[in-house]
Amino acid sequence: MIDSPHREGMDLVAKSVTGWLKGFIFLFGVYLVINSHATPGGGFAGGIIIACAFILFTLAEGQHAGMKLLSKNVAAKLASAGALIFLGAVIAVICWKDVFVKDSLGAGRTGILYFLGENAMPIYDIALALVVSMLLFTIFSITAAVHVTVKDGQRKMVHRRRR
Amino acid sequence: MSLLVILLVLMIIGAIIAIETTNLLSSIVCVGAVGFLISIAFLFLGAPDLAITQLVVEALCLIILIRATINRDLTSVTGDREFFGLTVTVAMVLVLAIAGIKMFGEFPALGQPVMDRMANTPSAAYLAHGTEQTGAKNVVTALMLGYRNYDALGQVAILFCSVIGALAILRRPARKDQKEKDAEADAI
Amino acid sequence: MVYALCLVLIAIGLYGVVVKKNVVKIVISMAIIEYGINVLLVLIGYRSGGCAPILQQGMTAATLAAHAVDPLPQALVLTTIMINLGMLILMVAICIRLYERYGTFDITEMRRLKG
Repeated sequence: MIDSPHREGMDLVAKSVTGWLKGFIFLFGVYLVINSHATPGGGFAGGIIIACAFILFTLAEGQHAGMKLLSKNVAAKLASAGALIFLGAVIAVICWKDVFVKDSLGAGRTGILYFLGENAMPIYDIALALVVSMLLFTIFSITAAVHVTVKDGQRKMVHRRRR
Repeated sequence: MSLLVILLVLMIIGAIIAIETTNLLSSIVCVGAVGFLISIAFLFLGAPDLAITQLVVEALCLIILIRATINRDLTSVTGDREFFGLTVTVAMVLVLAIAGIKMFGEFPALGQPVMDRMANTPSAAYLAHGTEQTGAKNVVTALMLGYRNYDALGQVAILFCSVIGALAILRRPARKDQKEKDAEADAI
Repeated sequence: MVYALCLVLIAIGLYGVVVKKNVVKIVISMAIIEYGINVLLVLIGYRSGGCAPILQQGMTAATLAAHAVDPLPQALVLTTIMINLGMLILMVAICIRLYERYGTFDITEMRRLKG
């Protein structure tokens, strides 16, 4: 690591610290989302904290590493998937009124359905966190990648300035 | 209660500094300080959910604001608008003050929530039956994702609209438009 | 008294929006108005000596209904905070575009350089 060429991003101390921290921040965000029924938190705060983990990684390692980790297409598709899950759960509850209530599908249910408990709130939480985190990471990448430079006497907006 | 008053006075001082200082970076940091004080005020008002959300939203607002201004070379600006703006502002502030005095003449003192004063507010029913009907111990989450789920749906729609709008604004112009503009310039 | 201080915060933000010339200052003043409104809404539902609306160990629903602060303004303000984030994102995108178009954040300059 001593002889590695100068990569873009911050210096070595920031990169090492971020390498350790981003996992914990992501884990805390996921915890806040999943336990939103018992502790304060909720899908919004958890989603933003997950986005902050990705933003920290992008800030420390540079824009190219951030784009490689989560490109704009992947982020957009995940956000749309989260929104569709939310919409699907809402429509399912409208059409079949008791689809997520605890004992409506018969006794002895185990596995993932039992985790849902009384109604569909974990689904909403996870979908909300997915949407919020991916959208905020997208908007951060866009505002980070846009620079206004002066090119032959005229101001231009350049995307992703290369070093 | 005096703690709340102290926090609000600090917020007002921070807001005045944020608006009046000439350096843009220090005004952004002052807004961050005001948001942090708001988060502490939410903790004292019995809203831990809001405190967490306000804190992280504040950090994200700081990041986005700094991203907008850090590479631009104009970081200080001088002077205010002309006289007409000042008179309009003073008039508006006076109207707001009179409306406010009338409003908290009607309000009871701080410390009595709405559900105590009015007869059949839904909050009492939410608190009493929320846990058994939705299975969530956090009544605010039960409200947002259980009873009033359409609010969260509208919230997702708003967030999508704002991000798509920002993406559309910050888009590079298409190659075809540039070529057309060059062709026009050459024709003239 | 506390409501009056919240109204002063909103009025300070309003002054910033109307009077200031720098676009980023206007955006910051909008954020201050939003903060003031959030605090005002949560203050309406406050019960002195009350606990947060979370069911804890050894509490029944009836005691929660008697002791807790009002949860309804909190749920509304939670949504409002996220809406303010969306508004700020859009306003900052417009600021970046304005700087690219006119080269300055000053709105009186923008009024003069038309086209």
